[in-house]
Amino acid sequence: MKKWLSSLVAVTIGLGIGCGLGYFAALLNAGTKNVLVTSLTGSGFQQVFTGMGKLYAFETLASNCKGSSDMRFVLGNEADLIVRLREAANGTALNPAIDVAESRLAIRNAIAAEAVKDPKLQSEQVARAGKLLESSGWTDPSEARMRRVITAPDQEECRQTPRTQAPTR
Amino acid sequence: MKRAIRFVALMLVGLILGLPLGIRLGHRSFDRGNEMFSDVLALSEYETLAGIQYKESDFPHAKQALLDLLKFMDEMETNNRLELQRSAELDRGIAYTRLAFLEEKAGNASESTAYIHKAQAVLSKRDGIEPTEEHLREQVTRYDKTPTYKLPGIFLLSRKM
Repeated sequence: MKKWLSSLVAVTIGLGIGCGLGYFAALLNAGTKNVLVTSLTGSGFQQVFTGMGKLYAFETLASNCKGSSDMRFVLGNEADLIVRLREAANGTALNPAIDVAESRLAIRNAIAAEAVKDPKLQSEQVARAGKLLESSGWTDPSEARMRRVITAPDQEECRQTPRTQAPTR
Repeated sequence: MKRAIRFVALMLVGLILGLPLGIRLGHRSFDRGNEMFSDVLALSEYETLAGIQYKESDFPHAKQALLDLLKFMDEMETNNRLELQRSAELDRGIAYTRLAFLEEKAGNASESTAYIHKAQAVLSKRDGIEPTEEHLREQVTRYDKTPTYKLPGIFLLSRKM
């Protein structure tokens, strides 16, 4: 009886540990498939898909609802991502509005330049955004218009963020 | 000593049996949620960019953006990425209606009607009831007046995340 019981305890402990390890392995495996973690690899579509997910994440960070984002880091990484996204999209039949994403980033950079009082960089970024918006067929490719376009999703994002503050500009 | 070896051996047997069980349980718990999360992020951004183009650009660019969004959704489906079928179908229906509005504004009545039919087909497949053209126009016109660039299916899902 005692022998039988100790065997059962041993198997149960093993089963528990095995289950826990397997569950943890599955969690890690699932994490590596997340668009926020994976790099832009695979088929053209897969790369565009991953890139879009990451771009959404960077834009969420750039909306800076809590005022705690490192904007230089976020905008720098978003710029790199847009370059890679453009390359990825070239290899597919897809034609996402990457110029619009780039001009949105340029205006965010202009806002950041304005905050650190760098008028040269600010005007460069505004001019870049204007050019991209013109080629994207915008009826009003002004800086003011793009600022309004950025503000709407930022406010929407901040409404969803707990303990929200106004976005820092 | 012999008893200890036996205990460890039995524990190992349990561990070997438990490992695949845990992996299976874990996959069931995380995989679908994780895929849905990735789908919502990617589609949200694609819809945002297409939505910005629809609201801000001229006819050819707006049309191209919406057609491209539909192509992206099709690609998601063929790559088995579309876990959020119902939400995506709603957005697809709205994208077709927006295309109908654009064609109508450009004076292409027959193309506009064709897109309305496509929107109705997609939404009737989703809900089992075909929405009337009037209802479709009213709903999409109302949605177009909101400051949101994402389409409602994904917009609602992204708010839940």
